[in-house]
Amino acid sequence: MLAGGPERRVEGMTPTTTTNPAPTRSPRLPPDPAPVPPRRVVAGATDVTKVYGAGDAAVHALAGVTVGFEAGRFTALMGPSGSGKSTLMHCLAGLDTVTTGVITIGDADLATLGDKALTRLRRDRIGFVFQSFNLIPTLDALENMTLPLSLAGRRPDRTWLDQVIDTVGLRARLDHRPSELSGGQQQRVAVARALVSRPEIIFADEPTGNLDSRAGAEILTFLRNAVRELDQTVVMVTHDPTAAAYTDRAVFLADGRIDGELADPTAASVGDHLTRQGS
Amino acid sequence: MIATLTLRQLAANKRRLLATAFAVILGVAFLSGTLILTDTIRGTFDSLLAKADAGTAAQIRATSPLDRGYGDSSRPIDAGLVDTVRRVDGVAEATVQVSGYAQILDGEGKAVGSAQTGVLGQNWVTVPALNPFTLDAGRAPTGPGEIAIDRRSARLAGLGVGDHTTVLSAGEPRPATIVGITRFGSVDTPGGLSVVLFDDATAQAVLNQPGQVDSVAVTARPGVSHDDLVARLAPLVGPGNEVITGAALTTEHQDDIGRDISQFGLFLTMFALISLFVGAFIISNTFSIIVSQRTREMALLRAVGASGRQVRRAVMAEAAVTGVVASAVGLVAGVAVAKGLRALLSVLGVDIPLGTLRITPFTAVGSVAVGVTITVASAVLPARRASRVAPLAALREVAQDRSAVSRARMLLGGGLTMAAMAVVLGGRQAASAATVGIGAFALLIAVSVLGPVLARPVAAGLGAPVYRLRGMPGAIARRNAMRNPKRTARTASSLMIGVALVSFLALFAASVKSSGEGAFRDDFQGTVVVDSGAIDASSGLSPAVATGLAARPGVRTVTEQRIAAVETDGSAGFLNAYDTATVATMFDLGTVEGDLSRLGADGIAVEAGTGPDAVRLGDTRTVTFPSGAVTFTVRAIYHHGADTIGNRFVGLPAFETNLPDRLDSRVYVDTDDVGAVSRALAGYPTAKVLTTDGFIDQQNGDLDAVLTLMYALLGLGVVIALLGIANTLALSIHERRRELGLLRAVGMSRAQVRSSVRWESAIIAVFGTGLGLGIGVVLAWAMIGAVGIGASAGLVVPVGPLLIVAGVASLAGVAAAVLPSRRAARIDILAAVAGA
Repeated sequence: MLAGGPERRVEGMTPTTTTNPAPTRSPRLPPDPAPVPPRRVVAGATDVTKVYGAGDAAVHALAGVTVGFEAGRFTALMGPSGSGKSTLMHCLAGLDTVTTGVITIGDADLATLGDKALTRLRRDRIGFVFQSFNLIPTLDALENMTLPLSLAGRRPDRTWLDQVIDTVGLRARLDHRPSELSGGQQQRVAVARALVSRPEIIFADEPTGNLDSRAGAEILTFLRNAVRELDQTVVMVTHDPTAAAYTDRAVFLADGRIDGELADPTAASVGDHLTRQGS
Repeated sequence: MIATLTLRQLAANKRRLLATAFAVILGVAFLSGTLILTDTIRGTFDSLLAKADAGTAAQIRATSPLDRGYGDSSRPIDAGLVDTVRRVDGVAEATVQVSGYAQILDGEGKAVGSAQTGVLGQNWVTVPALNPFTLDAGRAPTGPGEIAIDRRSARLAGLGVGDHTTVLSAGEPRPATIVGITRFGSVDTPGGLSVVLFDDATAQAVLNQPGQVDSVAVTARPGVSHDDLVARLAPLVGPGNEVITGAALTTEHQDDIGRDISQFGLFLTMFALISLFVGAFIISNTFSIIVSQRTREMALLRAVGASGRQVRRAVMAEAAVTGVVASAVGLVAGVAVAKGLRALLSVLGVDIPLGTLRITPFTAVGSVAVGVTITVASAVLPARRASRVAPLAALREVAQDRSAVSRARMLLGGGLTMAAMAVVLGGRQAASAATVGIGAFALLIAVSVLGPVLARPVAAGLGAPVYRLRGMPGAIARRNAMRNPKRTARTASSLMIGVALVSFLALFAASVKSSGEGAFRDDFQGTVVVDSGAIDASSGLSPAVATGLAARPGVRTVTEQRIAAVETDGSAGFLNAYDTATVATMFDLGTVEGDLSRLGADGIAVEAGTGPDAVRLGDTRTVTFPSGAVTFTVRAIYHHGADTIGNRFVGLPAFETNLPDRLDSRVYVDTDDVGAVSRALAGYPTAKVLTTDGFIDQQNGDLDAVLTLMYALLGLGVVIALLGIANTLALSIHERRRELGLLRAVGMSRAQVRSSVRWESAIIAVFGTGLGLGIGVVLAWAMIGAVGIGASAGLVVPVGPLLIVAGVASLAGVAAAVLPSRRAARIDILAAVAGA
């Protein structure tokens, strides 16, 4: 499945090693007659490092990462434990700060934002799906879905909300508390929450990590549908090749650096890559 | 092993146990501080009095069926007795002792000292061994125009040797020159008393009658025992008199002062116990939360083989260690509290001599025992719950204190509340204040048991407007207040107690004021009250005041009132004496059966009773004066005005026959010219000239002063309750940190987090305040009925003050949330959401 066209296009769009501060708009666009029109980059990291500790004890969780994520695409961030994939996601999502380098969401440079603006950004422009403990136990399913909007004091768009509810198939469980929902249902509520506010980008951190394979497949399907049918942008951290197969693109990290990527990955191609990475 | 575990737990939970410890420390500090202070005061007075009486071998005085206070006399004795006893073999020296009411004026004409702080006139005893006073400056008074005064009064009034002043007494005001400044043993004056000393003859003339003295004291020749001396003197003192040893006199004085100190101590101790009671809820709450947060850990212990009993013991041991440490700290803090209270009292005019504070073994052991017992007892239920944790719980996902409200609790709480209400209502019906009090205590506990049943619906109701007002943070506040009814209820209960007591006091006082005011306006037919502020027969206004007023043009009627502490038919209380010729004109007594003018010295007027209490003319009442019991015949029955003038009174001749002091506590005047009364009394600064409104204001002001003190003392309980709220919130926030992290991640701002915690606290505080107000209203209504105040006025609900109580308590709830809410807002999002 190493189809040349799309992969080259992606590589052209998001060079992994350049130090160009604005790498997301290539002057060579469009490079070839691709079937897909050029896409806007929603989230980007440029030369990002993240160092914990200092001196001899310093640990470089990220050691110079430059990567961009385009609108309307489903990307998997992959790598072994300690590769920095979660750290990168936390930095991209405004949950953590970088040591050096630039993180942008749309036109916003996160380093310039204070806690208030950052919170507003997370609330209005980013959606989250975590591995576990995604929902507020005292709120019911519908309230959890609309939480970011409620925090902003906005009412959800009724049509869109209905569409999301139907997509995740939870209409019958809207007034249930998280404790009354199965693990898969809870993750579906989380996906719905991420979608309801129509964020610019959704970050999913091992969203299927705690689920059985059937429920996991369901969640991944929802995420993929969200991208394909609802035109959302999703970045998913995972270490599971099967999960990565649902995405349009897999970006690999190893030891805090980008270590290659695959377009339209399959479980097999990802597996291959990981095996090579490991060797 | 369990011991090691307990210590490790304590070390790991220092912060969580801090609130528990603080509640115990504050309560124990208050308790031990009170005990230390009262022991210190008692000890100081005991040694002062022992030294003062040290030289006295024996004292001769009139017998008295009543306990007498320091300086009180029952009946004067013949001054000639001193010459008789002086000749007795074994007597070295002898002196007369004369005491009574005397008070001086300062340079601006204001009275020095007051009836409240104590005023006393005495003779300067020329026998040094028998004179408790020593000269600090100047010389002893000799002759009718000289006096010595105590050093404290001299300092406060800015008077010194050589200054001229005026002496107020039962007679006309008289000029005097200060020739000496005295001390009393090691202090300037005992207990803030203002003392005026005269030579023997002047003292008799001013304080008593010439030739009459209160007692005679003697010293013994070397080798003569006091008991022997008493035996030799006894046959000579005459009927109705007695001889006691100096030692017995000292004990009597010490007991007398001791009784006052004990009452004062008991008053303070009551508030210390209330604080500890409030603290018990906080301790129980903290341990419950800690136990629930440690469920997994305890389950693990069970899984590896610890018995339920061992787990329970570990929790109890933790409570015990906390209790011991906190109580010990509390005891030490109690020393500071005692010093603070002493400083406060000194500001209020009660001068307590500086000396080392006395910490008796009783205080130390008792305070610590109370602190430890309350801590351990409050941990019993949480510990039992801990012992019931199933080993399997270790394997489950976070098990939090998500206790549902059981049906058993609903029944038990409901039943207890009904039972307590029945006791309260029964107390009202039976007119028994004690029963209402017991019912009040039971009601507070019953409502605390019922609390969790109420918590969820009430929090939901209270939270509804918050939701509407504050949106999602409000909704989260409301749900958090509802999610754990037991925790919410226990937290609210501690505040409930304080608010219940404060609102009870406010309501009760308002009703007392209102009924007193209503009755006075209704009953009083005159226009002016001349008030001395006297609280018994030992001080007051010279009868010359009344005589002078009666002679003034424009004054229609003058009525004197005197007051004395006596026993009537065996029960202690105050008895009033009025000028019988005018009392029925000055006050509306309704229909008067019999004849007030025929009361004489052995007749009494009594309020008409009903049913079994009905009074008939010719019935008798036995009044025990300090000088002896006297049988009075009911010669008049009145049907109105008892709220103002008392439910019985005698004529002035009855007091003059049976009491040595002839002082008016008040003089009521009917005149149109209030200014003239004021001008006429310019020379009597202790006489306050008040209009009806002014008099009511003064009465209310006196009550307000007491109320303020009680509110301040209850304030400690409220502070402890607020600490409890803050602690519960902090523990809850620790428990919910992942949830908070998630909220922050999906876009809750710090301000919204803070607002959410504040509103949760407000809901809990309003819940506790509401319960407290409700209970306060019920108890005040019951108590007013029980003590029979204001049958006409009934329960007066002072809306303003109650709103203030409710507002302050609720705002304080918000204030308690300030620190926890900040902590919640600063939670590390990443640690919370990534700590999967």
